[in-house]
Amino acid sequence: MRESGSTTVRAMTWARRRRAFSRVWRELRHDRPGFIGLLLLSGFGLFALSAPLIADRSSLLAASGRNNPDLAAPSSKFLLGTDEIGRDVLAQLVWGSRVSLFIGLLATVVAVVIGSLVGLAAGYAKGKISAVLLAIDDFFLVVPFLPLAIVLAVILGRSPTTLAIVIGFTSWAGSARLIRAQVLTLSERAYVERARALGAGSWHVIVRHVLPGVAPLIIANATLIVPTAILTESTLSFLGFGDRLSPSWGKLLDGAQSSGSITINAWWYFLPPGLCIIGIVLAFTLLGRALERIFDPRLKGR
Amino acid sequence: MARDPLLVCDDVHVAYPPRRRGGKPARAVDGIDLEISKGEIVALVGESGCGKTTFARAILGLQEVSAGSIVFDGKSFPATADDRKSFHRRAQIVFQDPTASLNPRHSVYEIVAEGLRIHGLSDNEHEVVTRALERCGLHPADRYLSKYPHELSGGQRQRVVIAGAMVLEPKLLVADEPVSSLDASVRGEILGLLQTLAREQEMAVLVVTHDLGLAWNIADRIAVMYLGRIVEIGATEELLARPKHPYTQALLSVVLEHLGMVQQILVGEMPDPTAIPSGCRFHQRCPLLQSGEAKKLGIDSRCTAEDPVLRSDNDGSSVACHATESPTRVAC
Amino acid sequence: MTTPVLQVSDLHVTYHAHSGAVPAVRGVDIEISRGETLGLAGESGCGKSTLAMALLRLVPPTTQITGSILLAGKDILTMKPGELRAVRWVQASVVFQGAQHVLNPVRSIGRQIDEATETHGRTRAGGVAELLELVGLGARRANDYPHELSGGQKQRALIAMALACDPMLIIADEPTTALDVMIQAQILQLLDEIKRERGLSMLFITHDLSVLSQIADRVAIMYAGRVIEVGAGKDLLRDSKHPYSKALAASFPIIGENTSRRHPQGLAGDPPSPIDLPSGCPFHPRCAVAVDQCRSIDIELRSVGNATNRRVACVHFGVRDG
Repeated sequence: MRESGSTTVRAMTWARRRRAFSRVWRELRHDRPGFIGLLLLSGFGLFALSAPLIADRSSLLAASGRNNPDLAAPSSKFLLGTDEIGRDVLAQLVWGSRVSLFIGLLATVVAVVIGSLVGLAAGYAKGKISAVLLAIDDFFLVVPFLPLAIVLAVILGRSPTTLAIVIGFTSWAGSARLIRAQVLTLSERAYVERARALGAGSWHVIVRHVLPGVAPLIIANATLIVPTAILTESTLSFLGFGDRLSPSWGKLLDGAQSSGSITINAWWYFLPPGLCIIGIVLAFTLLGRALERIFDPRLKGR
Repeated sequence: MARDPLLVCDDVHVAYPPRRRGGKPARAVDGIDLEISKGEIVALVGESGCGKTTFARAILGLQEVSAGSIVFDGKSFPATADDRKSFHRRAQIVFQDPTASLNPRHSVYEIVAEGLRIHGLSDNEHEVVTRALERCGLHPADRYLSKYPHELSGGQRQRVVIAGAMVLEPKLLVADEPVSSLDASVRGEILGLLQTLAREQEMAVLVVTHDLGLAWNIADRIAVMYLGRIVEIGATEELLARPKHPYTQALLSVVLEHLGMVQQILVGEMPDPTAIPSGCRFHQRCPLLQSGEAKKLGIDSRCTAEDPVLRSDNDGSSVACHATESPTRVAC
Repeated sequence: MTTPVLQVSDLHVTYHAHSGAVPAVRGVDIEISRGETLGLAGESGCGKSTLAMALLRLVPPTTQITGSILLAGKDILTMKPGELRAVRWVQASVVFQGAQHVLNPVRSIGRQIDEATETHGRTRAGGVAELLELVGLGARRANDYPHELSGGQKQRALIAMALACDPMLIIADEPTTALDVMIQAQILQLLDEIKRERGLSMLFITHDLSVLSQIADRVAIMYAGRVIEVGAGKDLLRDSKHPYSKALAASFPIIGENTSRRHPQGLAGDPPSPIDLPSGCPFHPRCAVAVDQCRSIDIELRSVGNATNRRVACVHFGVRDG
């Protein structure tokens, strides 16, 4: 009896998740901007995955461009031309998409984890703990974020992983605020009160009632952190704080700028990474806003 | 009366700290004595803002008590977390709005089983849940187990809430306006259910309500609350047939207007709990003072200066009014 | 015979929601004469509020209204927008439920009452002060903002607003629902006084039958978009014929009556959803005295026996009119 009870519960939970997922999928399909964002994103995903098919990793090395013309315009051999030392721009672009996406996603995970923990704790705990967490949150909200990231990047090193952690560490404050607000409204709900009256402790209330309520918000919010993180990475790389060995899109732009390709109008060098950055930011933003609309009933019908 | 007191509240106070610096605290519950016996249904009647819901929450430990004592089942109010948890097993609450008190993401099964899981009572979970649902009038239970709150009607939701409380087999059920958000025709069924459960389980029920009619329907005793305090308490038939406190009289006259009773509509509204009047807390609106009857009885100065205590009468009822102490006055 | 202030015939109101057409009101005839108060009672979803809002066409634009609504002899449904605006508030006004949502929180009460009159180019001799005195708020409250008033006082302000243009009909939609009994009694008393003084007609909508016994001359009970019983106020409440009205009346126990003591009465089941109405008489699934016929035929309102104006829509009562 007990067995059958728990299996039916599990089955029910899964059925609910399936239903919820198909609802989200249905609504997303009918949300034009969101769906465009999703398509665009899938395109970038495929692009990044297909890197080994498009160009060999070795073509990223400085030595690989030795026999090629420098800053050559696009041709059948080099679809997007070459850079100032004769390397294939397309190879750098496609391998760079991996770096940019990796940094964007990892930074987001870091930011969302910190933001959610701080937001949950600040919303759920009352009194001093909440006040201290809010003060820290305020600090990260107002501190000029680029200088802080630069300082941290210089101190901690420049590998893509450290860069991602640095970016994540400096961009969680907004989501913490958002999550805290949602936690506050959720913990006022009568069903939370009912759980307490049943004898539930904080752990039960958070896991069963509060977290499931904020999860959609966290997902939507995360989708909006990714583009900011990618932009930040590009900015840092463009300013020369990126990793020399892994060519991200920001790094490409940095190269284009320092080689003077902009003055001689070598558009194939600076335009593709620029467009890619705009495209990926747009894709994530469109998708994130759509998820926000779907998950947050208050935004419906606006 | 209190043959076997399950819950004994002695001079319970709940004060909310002032909103602004220099403000006065809100004395939402201002000294309540109340006993409830096993299997008894007590209605706590009062207008909104009289502190009845705060008191109900205080009984269940959902609201901190600022003074006084609550003894439940022979034990003083739980101090440690473990005590508190076992206390919650034996005292349950049903809220006014069943829609808000059910998590929209949880199925009926999960909702009803929640209490069992919190207390680690996982044996025969499925069976216990099914039985609780059927006992609360949702049969066959199988048809409801996998439903979600939004798929149920208001009455069914309230039944689910009650079933969720009943799985823990509580000794006390506090029902805070259990039917006021439900349709009139469904109301009777839910009240009937509470009454049956109280009888069959020997469960004490405290119904918090604004509705004297509801009290007439199911309560054994009625306690009338005004501005943080019980002003009159007694057996239902007795209290409603011969109300002694002028506030109870006025309340009753308003609902019984159609029976030819002269309406005593009180002027003004109940004061704020931050500014409880001196003397009798009801004196500013009291018809006895306004009609000059208090003066005739020679108690008008006491009414404005002296806070009347809840005095037991020989018929088992208690009233907090200076006029009832005076032998010359005949109860109307 | 004088023309009734309001005469509604065969009114149908259909909403268009995502899920399709929702027939909220399905063929209602009501009539209110001068100085009369008609109480309209029913549970949530029975169409009573929709009916009230449809009377002044205060419904979403996609809503379909058919039938006729004659206000002092003129059909509201055929009016042009300009004419309709001239009628709203001047001839008939509304006291809404939930005063806290209706009042603008950042405007003083006085301004809001003023606006009601100004929009219609009318200025009252006594102005706002007189109105506020009339509803028992006191002229000095004119400068107060809604948050400074209690629930009962806000309801009074709304009543003042409804009276601003001297209408002949007031539509009161659950005006006392959120209020405590004592405040409710105060408001009912106020409405009754005003009505008598000014010879106003009133449509009083509520789910609470006990309120109607105090204020209504006649009562109509609605179920699933239709009036199922209508009659003189106190008679109908004391001696309902239709099984639904009977059950509804029994849900409001009379204190001191032994039949209801320790015996709360109600109806099993729930009111039907307007998009999924049962066949025949919509009440038959919950009805204790339903017969086979009820499943197939939805009976119209019919006069009952020798009672003058009692009409019931139930197969067990009455003979067909005419």
